[in-house]
Order: sequence, then C-alpha cells, then structure tokens
Amino acid sequence: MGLVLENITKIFRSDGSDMRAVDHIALEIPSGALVTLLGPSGCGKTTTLRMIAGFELPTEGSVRLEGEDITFLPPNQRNISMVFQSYALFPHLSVEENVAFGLKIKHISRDTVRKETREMIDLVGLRGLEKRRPDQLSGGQQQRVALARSLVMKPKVLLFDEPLSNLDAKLRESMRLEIRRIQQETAITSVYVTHDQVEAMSISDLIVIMEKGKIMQKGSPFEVYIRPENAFVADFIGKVNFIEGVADKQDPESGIVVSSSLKKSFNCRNALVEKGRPARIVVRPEAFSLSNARNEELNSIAGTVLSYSFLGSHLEYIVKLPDGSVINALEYNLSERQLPRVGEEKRLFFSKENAWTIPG
Amino acid sequence: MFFKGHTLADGGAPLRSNELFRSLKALTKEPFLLLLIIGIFFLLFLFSLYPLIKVAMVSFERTDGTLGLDVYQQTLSNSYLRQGFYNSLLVASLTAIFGVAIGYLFAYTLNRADIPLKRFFRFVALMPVVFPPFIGAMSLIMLFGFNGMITAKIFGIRDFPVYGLWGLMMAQMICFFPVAFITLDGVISTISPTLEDAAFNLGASRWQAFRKVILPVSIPGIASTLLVLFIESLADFGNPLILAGSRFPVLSVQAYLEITGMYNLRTGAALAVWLLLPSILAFLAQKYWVSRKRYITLTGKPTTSVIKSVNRPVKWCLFSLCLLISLFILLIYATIIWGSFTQAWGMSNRFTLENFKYVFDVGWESIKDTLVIAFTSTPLSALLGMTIAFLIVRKRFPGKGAMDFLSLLSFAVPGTVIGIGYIFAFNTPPFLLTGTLAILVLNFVFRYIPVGIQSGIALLNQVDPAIEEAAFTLGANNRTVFSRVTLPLIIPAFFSALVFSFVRAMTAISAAIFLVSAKWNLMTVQILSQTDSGRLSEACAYSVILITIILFFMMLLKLLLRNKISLSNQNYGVR
Ligand SMILES: Nc1ncnc2c1ncn2[C@@H]1O[C@H](COP(=O)(O)OP(=O)(O)O)[C@@H](O)[C@H]1O
Ligand SMILES: [Mg+2]
Repeated sequence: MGLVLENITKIFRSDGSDMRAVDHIALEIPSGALVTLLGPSGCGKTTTLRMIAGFELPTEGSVRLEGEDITFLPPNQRNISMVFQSYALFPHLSVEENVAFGLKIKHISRDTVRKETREMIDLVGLRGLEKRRPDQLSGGQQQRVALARSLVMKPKVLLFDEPLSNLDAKLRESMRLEIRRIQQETAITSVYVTHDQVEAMSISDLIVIMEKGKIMQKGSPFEVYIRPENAFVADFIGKVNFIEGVADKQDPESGIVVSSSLKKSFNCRNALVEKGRPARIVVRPEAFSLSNARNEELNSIAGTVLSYSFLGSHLEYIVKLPDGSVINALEYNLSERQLPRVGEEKRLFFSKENAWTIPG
Repeated sequence: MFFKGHTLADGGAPLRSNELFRSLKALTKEPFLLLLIIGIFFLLFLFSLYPLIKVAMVSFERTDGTLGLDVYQQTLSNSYLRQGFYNSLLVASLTAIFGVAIGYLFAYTLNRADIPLKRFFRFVALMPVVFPPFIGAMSLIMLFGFNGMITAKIFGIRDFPVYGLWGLMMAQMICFFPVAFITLDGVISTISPTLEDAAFNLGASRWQAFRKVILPVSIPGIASTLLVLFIESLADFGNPLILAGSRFPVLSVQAYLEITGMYNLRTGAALAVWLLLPSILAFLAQKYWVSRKRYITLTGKPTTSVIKSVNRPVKWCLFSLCLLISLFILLIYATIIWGSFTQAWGMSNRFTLENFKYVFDVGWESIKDTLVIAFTSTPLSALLGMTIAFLIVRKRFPGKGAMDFLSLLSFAVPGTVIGIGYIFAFNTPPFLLTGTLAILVLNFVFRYIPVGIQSGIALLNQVDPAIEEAAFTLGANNRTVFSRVTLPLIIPAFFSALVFSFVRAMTAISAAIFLVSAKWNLMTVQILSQTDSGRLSEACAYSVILITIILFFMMLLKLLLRNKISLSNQNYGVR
C-alpha cells in the first residue's frame, strides 16, 4: 500500500468552540493511483490534504507512507509535494529557479539540476519561458510551473488542492487531461482535491466522496455513479431522481420497492434495504425512456410534461407525477423528430437494471 | 459548532493533553525549530522579563534579607515621591490628549482638505522621528529659558514658566506627535471619500459628515494612539530631566536620581515598579482591547472623488493651524543648529566652529561607541524581530501566545525601568555584564525588537502562506524557507525595522544612561550631561552631529536599496 490514512481526525479549537473538520477518515491509496477527494466546500478536503502534507497535525490517528508512520514528520521530510490552488510560485524567482528550487536544496550537482529542470520544463511545455517571473505568466502557465516544480522532485506522493479552480472553463478541461497524462506517465501516487464532480470523474482511479468531515463512499468513478450507497452520494455525483417507497421483497439479487403515493411497485436491481423499511429508488435522468411501448420488464410511471429544454443532442424534460413530485428525464433519440407539448401526458419507463435502491 | 457536543462526549480534557503531547512530539522531529523556540524563549526571558523580576525582587528585599512591601508604603507616604507619581500620570495624560489632537489635526487636514504645502507638512510631521527625543526640551530652554532667545532677549522676561508641566508637555508633544500622526494618517487615509459623499447625498452637512462618519470610524485608532502616547510619555526621561528638575518631579527622573545619585536601590526599584504598572495597564488595554476593535474594512477602491470634506474658511483655518505648528517645530530644530554655531548660547551669540572641534576632541570616543553599538544591535534586532514574526505568524507551537506577549512587552516597559533592571540583573556572575559593550547591545536589541516584529507580522499577513508551504513540500527546512523565501518576501519590513531600530539605538537615552560606562559611552548621554552643566552650544553641536550621522546612514541605505525597494513594489506574492 502506498499511502494509508488510519482514522485521522482533525479538530480545530478556537476560544471554546471546537470544529471537527475531519472525522475519522480511513483510506488506503494504492501506489501509482490518482485518488480524488470530492465533496462540497467546507467538508474537510483541504484539511485532509494538509494532514497528509504535514501542515496540520491530526488530532487523532496516523498517516503511513510505504509502511512508515509519518504522522509527526515535518512537511520537508516526507517527500510529498503539493500543487496549490493559488499556485504559490516563488514570486521573486524565475520559472527556471522555481522549478530548480527543490533540487538545489538537495545538494546535487549543478549539471544534474540544470538537466532535470530543463527536462521538466519541456515536459510541461514551458520551453522559452525559463527566464520569466511568475507575474509575467498566464494562469495556465503558472499552474504548469507549479506542477513542474513539484514533479521534478519525484515525490512519493503528489497532492493537488483544487489546482484548476482559478482557470477558465476551457483551460480547465485541457489542463485536467494533461495532469492525468503526466500523472500516468510518471506513475506518481496522487491525491487530488476538487469540489467539481465532472473533474473528479474524468481524472480519478478512485473517488472518495466526503461530507462534514466523513467519508460517504469510496469507489471508482463507475461505482460511485452506478452504485451510490446513500442519497448524498447519488445526489452529489451527476443528476438524479429519487422515488420514495418501502422495501418489499428480500433477495440480494433483486428488490421490490412499493410507493404508496404513486400506488405502484417497482422492480429494482438490488435489495440493500431490509423488508418493511423506507427505501429510495435512484434513477438517473438518462435511464428513462419516454416511449409508449408496453413492456412488462420495465417499470413505468405516468406524468405530465411541466417544461422541457431542447439542447441539440437531447431533450431535457421536467415531468410532474400524480403525487406532485417532479422527475428530471433526458431523451436522446427524439422518436418522432418533433418536440413535445407542455401539459402533454407522457409515460416514463425505466428498466430494473436502472433502478438502484438505497436506504430512504 | 456543529460537532461541539460530540467532542465533549469523547472526553474533552484528556484529549487535549494528548494533543499537547502530539504537538510536542511533532516538534521533536524538527530539532532546529525546537531549539530556536527554546532559545528565543530563553533570551526573551533573560533579557526582557528577568530584569523586571529583578527590579521587583530588589524592591521587596529588606536589608535584613526578609521580604516585604514596606518600601511601597514609604514611597506613597513621602509627599515628594507621591507628587512624582501624580505628575507622571498628569503629564502622560495631557501629552496623550494634546498629541493625539495635533496628530489628528495634521492627519485629517492632509487627507481631507485641498491645501497647498502638503508635502512640506508631511515632512515636518515626520521629522521628529529621527531626532533624539529630548531635543525639544533643549530647544525650549534655549528659546524660553532664563537666557531664552525669545523670552529674555526679545521680551526681557526671565522667569517664563518653561520648567514644569507646560514646558515638559510641549517638549513631549513635539517629540511624540509624529507617532500619532502616522497611525491616524493610516486610519483616515483608508476611509474612502465615497463614504462622505454618501453622507452628503443623504443630506448631511460637512460637520455632520465628519461627526457621524469620519470621527466614529477613527475612534479605535484614536484610542489606541492615546494609549501609545501615554506609554511613551510616561517612559520619557530626557525631557523631564532637562525641563522638570526638582520643581516638577516625575517618576522616571526620581527613580534615576534615587539610584545613581543616592544609591537608594530599594526606593529606586519601588519607583520603577510604580512607573511600570500604569504602562503595563495601558499596554494591555492597547493590545487586548483596543486593537481588537480596529479591523474595520473601509478601504474602498481608491477614488479620485474630489475632496469636499471641508469648506473654504475651515480649510484655511486648518491650514493656518498646521502652518503655525510646523513653523514652531522648524524653529525648535533650527534653534539647535543655530546654537551649535554660537560661542555660548545666551551669553555670546558669535558664530564659531569651536563647538564641533570640541565635540570631535572630547567626544570622539562616544561617537565611535554610539556607532559601534548601533551597528551591532540594529541588524541583530531586525533579524530577531523577523524571526519571531515568522514563528508567530507561520508556526504553531505550544507557548506561542507567551512568546508574542514577551516579545512585545519591552515596548510597554519604560526605559528607566529596564535600565534599572539590567544593572540589577547583570552585575553578578554568571551574567556579569555591567560596563561592557554587550549589556548596551543586548538592551538595544531586546528593546527594539517589537518594531521588527510588528512590521514583519504586518507584511507576513499579506503574503500567501502557501508560498512558504510550497517550499516546505519541496524539501526545504525552516532555515532554508526563512532565508530563501520568507526573508526575500518581507525584505521591505526588514529594512524598515533596520532603519527604525537604528534611529532608536542612536537616540536612546532612558535605559542606556544606566548602562554606559567609562569605556562605553553614548552621544545622547554626552548631550544630556552637557545640557545639564549649561553648555548648551556644545550640546547642540553633539546633537547636530548625531542627526547628521542618522540622516547620512538613512540616505545611504535608501540609495543602496533602490533596486531592492523597487523590487518590493512589484506584486511579489502579496495578496
Ligand atoms: N485553521 C483552521 N482553523 C479553524 N477552522 C478551520 C481551519 N481550517 C479549516 N477550518 C474549518 O474546517 C472545515 C473544513 O475546511 P476545509 O478542509 O478547508 O474544507 P474544504 O477544503 O473541503 O473546503 C471548514 O469548516 C473550515 O472552516
Ligand atoms: Mg479547500
């Protein structure tokens, strides 16, 4: 195992009021993987990262790196580098000097420093800008310097704290791919913090979803999207519809949820919830189809179209159900090549495979 | 907030001691940092706190070796000493009030009235900063004293009351009002004129806008400045020594006379404690009460809004007042220069260069000593100040609050008290330092670190901490981060601390007068003793040379730093 967090907790104390920023986080990060900490602002992502880096001392628990307990080591003795949201370049040093900073401290030969610095500047595509000062660079270029400066140290772990949040949308997307490419090329174990779920999905081997200092779920992007363990995760990752009901059949392979308000029962892919207990069915908007065909395998609900938006590749519906709840549905292949009418009755189908239950 | 109950349920107290253990354990992984913290604590204790403890100890200790507070009763029951206490508080209060009033007048006028000669006013208001603090007193005597140029020569008055309360207050105001001006200028210049515009739009008159907007916003600044001036005035030694004498006793001079004149150590120590108490109270009030209320963000965007805070008559009225005060200050300093070229001030005003020759003949050693001491103590003080600022702002360690307090404490301790403390504390082995260069240097270093600490803290608070954290994650240790990243980023604060403590070291008197010896003497002490023995022209020559040296080195530093300073004007990682 590369990096292991053993039940780390951080409590900030200030004049009598305690703030539990991180609450018993346990996590194992395999060597070479890129793990994302994802969650809303204030959920403790940065604090977790700073405990890994050594800037905060965990109130409880320990941090292990390749088997060694590094909880009490200062940041400079950990061989862990960090890329900051604000880039944090040394404003008084040139690009070249910024990248060479860490190498020079290690007292290695000048030629090696020069060679490795140059290679790294090439890798991140900054050739020709070596002599510039940080304030003479664009945001994207500054971020590349920050990345190069960290990478050149060949750290055991590379930490990113919302590295792209100061860039504009377009640049963010290309930088994201580039970070992933470089990370895979160098195979450096990485922990990446973001509050942007799209960013997390596109870049990660493993996503850790956090809320109020706790881990809500960890898994591959696929898992957390397809098999969310709770409403928070289902809601945080992508768009989602919840159908409330009570679990009926107990069978690990499939389940039945009965909705009294819709006077219907639905077949579901799993049966996480004990019989007789409240359950929620998670259905993604794209899982619905709005055809008129009757199919016994499928669950279906009738509703009226409240509104829709035509977005080129697809239609986005808002459909009102008889019990007053609202469903968000996407339709990709417009069956009749014509737009629906507001107020029109529609039938929403979703397959058992697309119905995932979580505790209600 | 959210998890509060939860935490307590885990067992609050044991967890906390566990946390202390954990943070100590983390500290042991950084032995250099740990040693540095311990070292700084040791030094602060030894050179800032221990002398004060020593003063208290001496005052408690009876001749038969037992302890008691009787000397405090004695000092209180002695009407002469009681008068000193009362006078000190009176002068300090009045100086604070009038000093702040003049400082506010200048700051308001320069920021809010569209008057000519602003640069001139600013220059005059800042000038006293580089002068020895007791120059005002000397000059007042030369102008208004027994042989005063104005009183005796022009009006023929011989007993103008320059010795005593009013003279002393005048001298202190000249010396300390720049402090008020600098702080209040900072306050008023950050109040956006749009605030007043808004008030005008709401139908307020100019006077209402001032009373309801400007004044309330500057109240915390005023309160803080009042306390600072109060402390400075209490601690003042040179001015009362020259002006007050025995007719108007004040504590700092009384304590000095008890100790050096009558070898009455216990009484002197008790007086020092009496002097210390109000200063410490004012300091605590300033640090923990007033300064908390100061962070009101009022800085709008710099606007080019036309200044219309005052109408024409008021404007010219303010202008005249400022002009009058400025001319008076210039007169004070001009008198010193004039005096230095006269044969014997008050008797024979013939032009001569003899005084300078005299100073170079007799006082050459003291000039050399002063420079050696200033050049040794200044960089040490600035560097130590930056280091402590770095630790306080950027590091977390047990006892940080105590370090903050201890390092700023010396600001609150009157020089007289600390001087007495040093002779008590360092006259026996293992700290036998009396009469040495070291005792003077150490005294200056620890007296003037608050200057460095405060400018360091102010600048560090503006530098993104992630920049230093980045250096740590790249493998730099505390030393490397401090020297290669922090220091280059706060170099402006470093040099301003350097300049300020240099000026302070060159002009210091109140503590130093206890610590000088035949071997190591100071120009300021020479000036005082020349003044005391009535050789005013010689004292003036000394002063002129002292001021010339100060200005010379300030200019030199400015020239040398031209590149560095322009560098610091760049964005420079400052948020
Ligand atoms: N130094 C600190 N002192 C007190 N509270 C803090 C400190 N740092 C973070 N917090 C609090 O801890 C919580 C988690 O913060 P953070 O880890 O920065 O969240 P995130 O990075 O997920 O937005 C927040 O409520 C924040 O206010
Ligand atoms: Mg954060």
